[in-house]
Formats: sequence, C-alpha cells, structure tokens
Amino acid sequence: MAIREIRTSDFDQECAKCGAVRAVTLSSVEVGVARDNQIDSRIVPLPPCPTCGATEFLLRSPTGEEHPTPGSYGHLHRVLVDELHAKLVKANRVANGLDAKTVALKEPSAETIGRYFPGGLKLPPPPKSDGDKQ
Amino acid sequence: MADRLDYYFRQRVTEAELDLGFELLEKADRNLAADIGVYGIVSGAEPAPHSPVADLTIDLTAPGRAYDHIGQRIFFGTGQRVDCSIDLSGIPTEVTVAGKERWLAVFIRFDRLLSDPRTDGNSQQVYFRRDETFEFVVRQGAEGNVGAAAKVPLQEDELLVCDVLRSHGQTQIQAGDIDTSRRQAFIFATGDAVQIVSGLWSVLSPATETVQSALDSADAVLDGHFDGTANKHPAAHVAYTPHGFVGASNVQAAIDEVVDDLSSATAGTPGASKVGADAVAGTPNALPAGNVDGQLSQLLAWLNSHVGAAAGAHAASAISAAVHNYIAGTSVQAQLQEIVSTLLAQTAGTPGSSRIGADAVTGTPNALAAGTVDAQLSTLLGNVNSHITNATGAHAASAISVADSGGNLAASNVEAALAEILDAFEDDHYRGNEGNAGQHRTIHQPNMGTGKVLLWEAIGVGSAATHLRVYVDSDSVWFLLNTSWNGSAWARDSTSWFCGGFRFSRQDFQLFHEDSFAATFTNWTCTWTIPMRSTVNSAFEITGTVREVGRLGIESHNTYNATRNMALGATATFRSRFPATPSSITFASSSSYNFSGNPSLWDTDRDGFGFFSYQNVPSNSSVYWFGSYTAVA
Repeated sequence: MAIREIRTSDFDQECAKCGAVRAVTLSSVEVGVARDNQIDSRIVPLPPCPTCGATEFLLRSPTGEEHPTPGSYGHLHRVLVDELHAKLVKANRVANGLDAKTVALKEPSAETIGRYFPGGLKLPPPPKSDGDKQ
Repeated sequence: MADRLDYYFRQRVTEAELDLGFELLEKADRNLAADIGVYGIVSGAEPAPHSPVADLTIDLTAPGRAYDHIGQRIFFGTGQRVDCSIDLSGIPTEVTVAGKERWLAVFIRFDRLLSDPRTDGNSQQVYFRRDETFEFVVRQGAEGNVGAAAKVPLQEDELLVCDVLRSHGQTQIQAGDIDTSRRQAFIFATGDAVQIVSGLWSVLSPATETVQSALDSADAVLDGHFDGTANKHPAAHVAYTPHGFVGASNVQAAIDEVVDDLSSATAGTPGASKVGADAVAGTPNALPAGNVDGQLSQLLAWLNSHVGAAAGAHAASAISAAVHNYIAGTSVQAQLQEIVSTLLAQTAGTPGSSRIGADAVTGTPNALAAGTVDAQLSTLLGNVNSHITNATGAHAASAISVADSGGNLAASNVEAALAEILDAFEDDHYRGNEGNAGQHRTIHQPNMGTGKVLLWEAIGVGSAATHLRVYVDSDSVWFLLNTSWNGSAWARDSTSWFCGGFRFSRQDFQLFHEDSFAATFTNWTCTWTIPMRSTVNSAFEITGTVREVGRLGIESHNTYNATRNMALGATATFRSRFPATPSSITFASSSSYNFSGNPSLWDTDRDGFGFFSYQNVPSNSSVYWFGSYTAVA
C-alpha cells in the first residue's frame, strides 16, 4: 500500500504484495522509466521488495488532473507521491537521459501540505475493520 | 404590842409567871403575823430529785424560811432529804397495782426542840431550852387510775412544800414526778386588806378601793387588751426603729410602708425587689442570690426562651402524658414512639391501619362501612380483586375516560378512542377482524418536505451497524446503515462502526463506504458508481480509497537460433474506472521463465496501464512472466 511517511533523506514503503514495510533512502531511487529512446519522467520505480520481489512504481499525477475526492486516502497518497517526485527531481535524482531542470513537477503547495498533513508527511493505512474487530 | 405583866418589888415570881411573860410576847408576834395574814414558805425548801443518784427521797434546798398560819417561824440552815417511800405513819407509799398511781404531799410544820435538861425543885427533869425547829411530814393519798388519782388535802398547821407522784414499780423520783403547783409560797398580806385611791385613774376602775380589786381591774383590762377584745391601742402608738427600706418610726407607718412597698408595681422598684431570695441551684439553670424581682425576671426570660424555642426546647421524654386508649407510655416521647410503632406494625390482626378510624363511604355498587382503615382496605381489595377477576363485562369501555395528556385524540373515553385509533389504523393496515390481521396494506406517505427526508428507520436487532434508514430527496432514494442526515452532514449512530449504504436514481446507482469513525462527515471514503446514463457506463466508477488487484502477463518465443534481446509488452484494463490516474502500481511475479526482474510500467491512466520489458531470450526458447498488479488511486 505504497508510501507511509516521507522524511528528509528516506521514506517508508509498505509492499502491496507482502505487506513488508521498509525504509527506502532517497539516494537509492531515481525518477524516470526509459523505454528505447523514451523516458517517462512521471514514474518513480522503487527497488524490488527484498521480501517478495514485487516492484512498485509511483506515478506523479498528470498535469491538469485534479483528484475528484480531496481528502480521501487516494488523494492523500497522490499528494505524497507528487511531493516525493518533486523532492527527488530537486535532488537531481533522475534517470539517465533526463534533465532535472526540465522535468515537469506537480509539487503540492505549502497550503495543501499544511491542510492535509498538519502532523507531518505521514499517511497511516485506512482501518481494515470496525466495531469489535477494530 | 403585847399583853404585859407588871412584876412588882419583892414579888416572888413563879415558873408559870415567868413562862407567861414569854408566852404573851410570843403571842403578840404571832397575832401580828396572823392579823396581817403572813404565812407560807418565804425562801428555800425547793424540791429536787435526790442527787447524785435519784431514789425514793427528794432534796430540799437550804436555807429554808417559812411561817405557818399562826405565825410560827420555820427555819433550817442545811439541805434536807425527805424520804418519800413511807408516810408519816411509816406506811409504804408504793403503788401496788399496775395502772394505778398515787399522790404524796410533802409538808413542813413548826416544832420545838427540847434541850439542856435540868432537875427542878421537885427533883423532876426538865429542859431548860425549848428552841424553834421543824419537821417534814409525808402524807399519801389513795391510789387511783393513772391521771385520776386525788391529791392530799392541805393541812391547817402545815405548809405544803410539793406534791410527789408515785407510780407502779417506781424506784426513783424524777423531776417530772415533783409538782409545785400547790406549793404554799409566802403571802405577805391579802390584797383585800390593802386600800388604794383610784380617783385619778383613767383606765382602771376597781370595784372597791383595794389592791385586790385594782389588780382585778388591771387584769380585766390587760385580758381584754391581750385577747384583742378591748382596750386596744393604735399601731401608730407603738414605736418602731427604722430599719432597711422602712423609714417609719411607728408600727402603723412601718406596716403601711411595707405594704405600699411590697404592692408597688413601679418599674425599677416593684414590691418583688424588696423581697430577698437566696441562691437556687439547678441544671441547666441556676438562680443567684438576689431578690424576688430579679429572680422572677430571670425565670421569665428562661420561660419565654423555652416557650418560644422553635426547636430543641427539651426532650419530649420530659413532657408527661396521660395513658390513653391503647397508648401506655407516660411521656410524649414514649407515646409518639408507641404511636409510630403501632402505626408501622404489620402484625396480622393488629396492623397500623387497624388503629386508624374511617367513616362510612357510600357508593354503588360498592360501599364501605364505618370501621378502620384496615377493614376498609380489606373490603376494597376484595372489591378490586373481584373486579379484576371478572372474566367479562366488568364494565363498558365507554366508562373509562381517556386523559390524553399528549392531545393525540379527539375521543374522551376508551370506546371512542379505540374506534378513532382503528379508523386511522385501517387506512394502511388490515384490521384485527380481517385476514392478515395487523399487516400492512400499501404504505402511503404524504409530501414530507424538502432536502433529504427520512422515509423509514429500523433498528432491527438493535445494532448500530445495521441501523437502517431510508431517505429520499429530489433525485435519489438513499439506503444507509449507521448514519443519519442531520441537515448538513452525515451523523454516525456509533463511532465504532463503519458507515455504508447505496443510492439510486433514474440516472445512476451508487454504493457508499465511510471508515473514518468520525462523528460526522460529508464525504464518503469510497464510492462505486454505475453511471447508467453516461456514455461510458459499463463499469463502476470508483472514488475514494481504491486498491485494485488484477492479473497480467506476457509471453513470447525466440524462434531464432541464437539468443536475442526481445521486447515484451502488453496492457491491462482496470476492472473499474479509477477516479484518477493511480499514484502507485506494483507488479509481483507469480511465475516466469527466461525473465529477469519484473516488467516496467508505462502509459498509465484511470482506465489501465501498459507494461513492458526487454529480456535476453535464449535460442528457440520461450519467455514469460505472469503476475499481478496492485493499483492505488
């Protein structure tokens, strides 16, 4: 279930396949997936899960596309991915063939961060059950 | 003076003539005493029980002087002891019979003591001296009953010294046995023999001008004065020495002053302030020494305080109470306790209610006879039980009124109310006397307003998780669990449970889910919508927290006779339309052959994604990768 928390030099990732949570350093990640002579600068491929081998790809949201349900879990995760994408590009963590200066960003505004993440860039998983099963 | 003898010259006197001379002189003395009336015991001869130890003799004090009725002088110079056990004849004086007594009389009488014996010319012995002397004579009276014995009569030539009472078995004469009331004391002369002159007297008026008569008159005056029947004098003529608060100088003025002062009601100086009062001990109050006025004031203050006390004056046990009826206590406290205990009693036969009287109560069909509350309760219980156990026809429902405090009915009795209720009930229900009794007919609901209107609410099994509500608005009908519409937001019934539901309209169908546990919310965490009227309407369009897991795979074959780097790729379509392009897609392999790593992502949007990989495939070998994707949007 993707990113849990973004810190200064790394972030926590929960494997969607096996559920393992690991800290991924920013220095081990680059922005961009290359295919022949094309590079998609919106994608951030993460290292394979050391537990199950699954590979996660984070996608910066398309330009001009707004999430239809702000505040929902999907929207909040998208904000974290956009923030991480911008952070990596600003740190020049881009794939070969990409110029960080020309990579389009969709960095969330400070107002958006303050509104949806007042306690820091953390996103706990949604509850899995209710009532007496919580 | 005395008769005289004139002895003459050369007279040869005889004894008789000499004796006559003495006798004439002696006679003259005694005539003088007899003429004047002098006789009686002048002094001494006071009788007393014999000392130191009383016996049947008495002692007489000395010196004793007396004159008998013929003027003979009686004298003794030393104390005398008179034996009363025998009388002058030597007869014992004892009382021989019990219950009897006897009076003795002790007299003294003149006598001559002869002495100096000589022999006269006739050779006869004579006594030259014949001195005056005395003797005691004890006479006894007859025995008589106690208190009734007669005393011994007085003797002419003797003087009574005292009477002595003898009793049966007596061995000592005590002071109480000696009676001097008849003692013949000295009388110098009789009053009748002395004249007085009363001419200027203003009070006494003697019958005759003698001392005796004057004294009788004085006695009469004093008797009247002392008895208060005559010759009284005003109290004002009795001097009084001022004392205390009485300043008057005579008895009349003093009494007036005392009466006036004692009856005074003047503030500050009332009569009670003139009467002293000593200290009076007591608990809780005590009175110091002072006067009656002060003590009355103090007592009034205590009494008023006590009577005016609103609480705690004193214990009820200190107030006595008369025994009455079945109450045996003798104080208010005891009687109150007894009354309370009696009234609280639940003893069969004598319960508290049996102590309370009740008058007769008329009524139809039942009435209550005069008696006790206990008896009337028993009667009422019987009536009520009889009424309740009536199987039928207790009374008409129309006889039971309806209070209708809520103002819900037009009817005022049960009969009319039932009819009114059934009239309303049967519009949407089958009546009890119809088939399917009580079940609904078609449910009709009128226009219930604007916004989201609640049509139906059912708690079901009592769980908030399945608390069902049905709302309707101008576009859709909403079926919801664990939430209600408060006019501006959804409000949870229980913050421990998710909320869920669905909505349908003429153009779409939508499922809801909310997992924040917030008390209120406006957005659903997830929605699944089938846009029935949209141009794309083949799948649910999803909003909110979406995670989809699907299968994907690629396979190829290198037909060449050498290893080749092969490009592999395919696309996958999400089952539902995501609300936006996913922010995360994870590939996980389930099986692969001649495939290194996982495919890479490419060309993603809300409907699906592409994936590709470059693999070095050996000659004439297959290559494949099958796995799953997990997309989050």
